[in-house]
Amino acid sequence: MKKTDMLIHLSGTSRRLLPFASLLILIIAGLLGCLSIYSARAFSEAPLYFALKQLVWLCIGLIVFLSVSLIPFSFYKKTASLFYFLSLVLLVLVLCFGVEINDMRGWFRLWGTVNVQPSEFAKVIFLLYLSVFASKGQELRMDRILMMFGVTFLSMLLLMLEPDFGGALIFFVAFIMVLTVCGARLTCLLAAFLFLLTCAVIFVAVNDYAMIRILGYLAPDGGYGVDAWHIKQFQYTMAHGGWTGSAWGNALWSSAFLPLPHTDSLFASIVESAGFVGGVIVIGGFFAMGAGFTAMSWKVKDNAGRIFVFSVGMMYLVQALIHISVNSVLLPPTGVTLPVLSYGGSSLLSIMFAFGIAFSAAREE
Amino acid sequence: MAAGSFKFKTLMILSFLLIWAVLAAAHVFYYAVIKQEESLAETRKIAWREAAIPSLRGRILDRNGIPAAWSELHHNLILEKVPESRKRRENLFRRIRRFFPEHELPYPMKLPLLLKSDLSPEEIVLYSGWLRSYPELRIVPVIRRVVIGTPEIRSQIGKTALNNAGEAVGVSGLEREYDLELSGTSGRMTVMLDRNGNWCNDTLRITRQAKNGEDIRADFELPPETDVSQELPENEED
Repeated sequence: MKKTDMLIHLSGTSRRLLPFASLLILIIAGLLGCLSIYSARAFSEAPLYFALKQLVWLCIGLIVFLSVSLIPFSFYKKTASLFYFLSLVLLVLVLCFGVEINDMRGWFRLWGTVNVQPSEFAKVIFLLYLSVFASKGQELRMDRILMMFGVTFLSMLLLMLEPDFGGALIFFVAFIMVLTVCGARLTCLLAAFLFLLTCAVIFVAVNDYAMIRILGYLAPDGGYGVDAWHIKQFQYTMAHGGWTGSAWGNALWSSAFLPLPHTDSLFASIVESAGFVGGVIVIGGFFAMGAGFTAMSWKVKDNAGRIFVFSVGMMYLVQALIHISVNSVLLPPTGVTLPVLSYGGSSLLSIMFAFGIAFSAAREE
Repeated sequence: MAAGSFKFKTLMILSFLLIWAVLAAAHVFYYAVIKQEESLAETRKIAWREAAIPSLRGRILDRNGIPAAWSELHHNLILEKVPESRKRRENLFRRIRRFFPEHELPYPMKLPLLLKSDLSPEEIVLYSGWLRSYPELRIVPVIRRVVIGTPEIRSQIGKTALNNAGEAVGVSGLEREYDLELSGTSGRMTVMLDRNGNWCNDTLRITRQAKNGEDIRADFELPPETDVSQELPENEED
């Protein structure tokens, strides 16, 4: 066999093995998530309840990942518009018929305690649609940028009506990523950020709780109710962690005081269990994930595929950084979960779905 | 889209996110390490409580060694506050009415409201589960001094009352005369409370054990027909 043939053969083998190697990493990350959830709820009445449920979601998620990654990327490219339209319909339906959890109408109740959050899947489909749309043609003309702008505004508006500003922010992140890698001019990017700022101002003006959150963030000791109290709890929880933490299963402050320690406040709880060192490992892990997706996107030949592969990695890296920044009091509180690690079936399944599509694009010859 | 340009843009975005990640890590370092002592001192004030462990007062026995006065520990379920949220209030009232139909629960009402006294161990386990969802409920330990016998004997035994520290002291009769022997020494404990004021599991530390009072033997003799179960407690120590 010639040397070039061997290289092609090896490249083909590694492409086939890619989903399985990634599967192993996802299993480890998912199990770490279950452990983190257990540790965050260790002193509650049912410490294993959420961890075991997450384990079930992880098993289903891994099957979703493998199945989705085995379907050719060309199928997703062809059906992106249709899926995007369906996701918009679901976002409208959830506003009309959804159930309210934590003052947010963003879930469909399927049966018993099983709820589905359509916005988690909608953001993946939205990103896929944008990637396919932006990849058509050589140059990103202004009319196409305006079209992308309109699509983003529509999706964000539906999210903000729930009201879920954190979720809407992730849609904006996806939009910015696609816009940047497609070579949009700086003025376009500045206009996009101005648009985000306008949305944020309107959202804060309409929703009192958002204003109280910002005031609470600016003055945690100023008596701005529950939100200022929440920020103080982030500080206290991390202080219990110190350098190396108080050991797994011993996150006492998280269980006793931290609101939503297994979802929106998971990172602070991890710091309590594993300390500053554990926190840095988690941040490093997410950054490595982002770098991995970036390197993977360089090898993808298809334009839509590489935009999607890069943007999906960045979208979840930014989501993780927002969660970590909120938990480390760098940003005001907003309800964003830590990808893969936080409790939530919809969140985990949508991540597996997104990664599956990304690996399908990466595998395509 | 040129591969070189794509690579450059992705590296640019990744570098920006690296700076963000480093900034977040620095914040974690500040709160977990640099500000640790200050924050921990605040949490100790917020969550940790020191409390007394009541000691049981010694018994007064008749000349044959039969108890004529003793202390018993009981537990009562009380409603201390009414939830502010209408939804929570209605849910709580619905539950109380189902288990204790004798309470009409007008709103507003006089509080604290005794819902059930003398809880059995099974009832304590059952109602403890309620406290997680409704911290407005409390299970309160109550020590009662039970005195039996004829009116003359009960008068001879005397009465107890609570002092400022919440400890029982003898105020008349044998209770007063032998107060030093009958009084025990209360213990001390520390415990962490959660945001609802409930005890956190596995955080109770006994810093000093309680020592119960000594029994004393009196000269009187209880009549043989005295039925202990029929006697009512003479007074209550809260």
